[in-house]
Amino acid sequence: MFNKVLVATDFSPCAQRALELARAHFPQAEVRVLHVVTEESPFTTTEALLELEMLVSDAWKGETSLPGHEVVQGSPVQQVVESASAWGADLIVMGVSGQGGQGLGSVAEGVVRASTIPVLTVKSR
Amino acid sequence: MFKNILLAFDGSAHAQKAARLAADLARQYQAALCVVHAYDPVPDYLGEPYLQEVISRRTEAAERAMEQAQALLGDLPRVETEVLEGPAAEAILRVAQVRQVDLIVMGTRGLGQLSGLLLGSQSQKVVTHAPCPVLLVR
Repeated sequence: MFNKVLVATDFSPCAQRALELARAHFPQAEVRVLHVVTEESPFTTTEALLELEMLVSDAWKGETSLPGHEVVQGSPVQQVVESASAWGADLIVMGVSGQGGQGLGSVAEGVVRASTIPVLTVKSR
Repeated sequence: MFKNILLAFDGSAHAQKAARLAADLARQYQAALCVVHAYDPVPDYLGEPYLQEVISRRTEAAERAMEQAQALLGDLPRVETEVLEGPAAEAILRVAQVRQVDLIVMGTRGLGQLSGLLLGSQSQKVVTHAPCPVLLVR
């Protein structure tokens, strides 16, 4: 089944659900968490990395080994798809309505279109 | 864990890949699997005998799709099938709600849609309105 699961987060509530789902449903898989910093981001890369570290250690509380995580810069769709393929992911997990957005979300839609590996989309409740 | 999986199946190449993946997941999680196939609504302005003919052609095509799905799924302890008339997204969402599934597996594009460029409108509708996570396969 899935061995390497890439979770893309924009720090939105539904990205948080995506992270929790990845942890709960793919316990055997290696998980990697990615955030893409764009020109419009409210964070610098360093701030995003701190935020991501907090997020991951919170979600994997009590575990001895935390999933790998990284912050990259660029276009979110391209970076998610490229990181997934460079790392050899066999599944991408992501939220579908980004921060402040309704509906599918342009990043999720772009990733679904561009990705050759399966994409698991998670909505916030 | 996923306990109740819905597979949307229209026979397209993407749906075939989705079927194999859904079967693997159902085995791994020992989940129940429900295969949903929707066929185009039959126009009610058709008079007899055309109406009957169109209906039987649609149901025969649906049966063939279901046989193909069963062959791809292989041996699974709990498989059920639902054939519904109507736009695929609505049929899928209706079954997802009634059966309270916790995962929908489907292809990114269905039959008869432009290949390559767009996320199928039915897939998009399902992702936007699904009560549960959606796994898109291509």
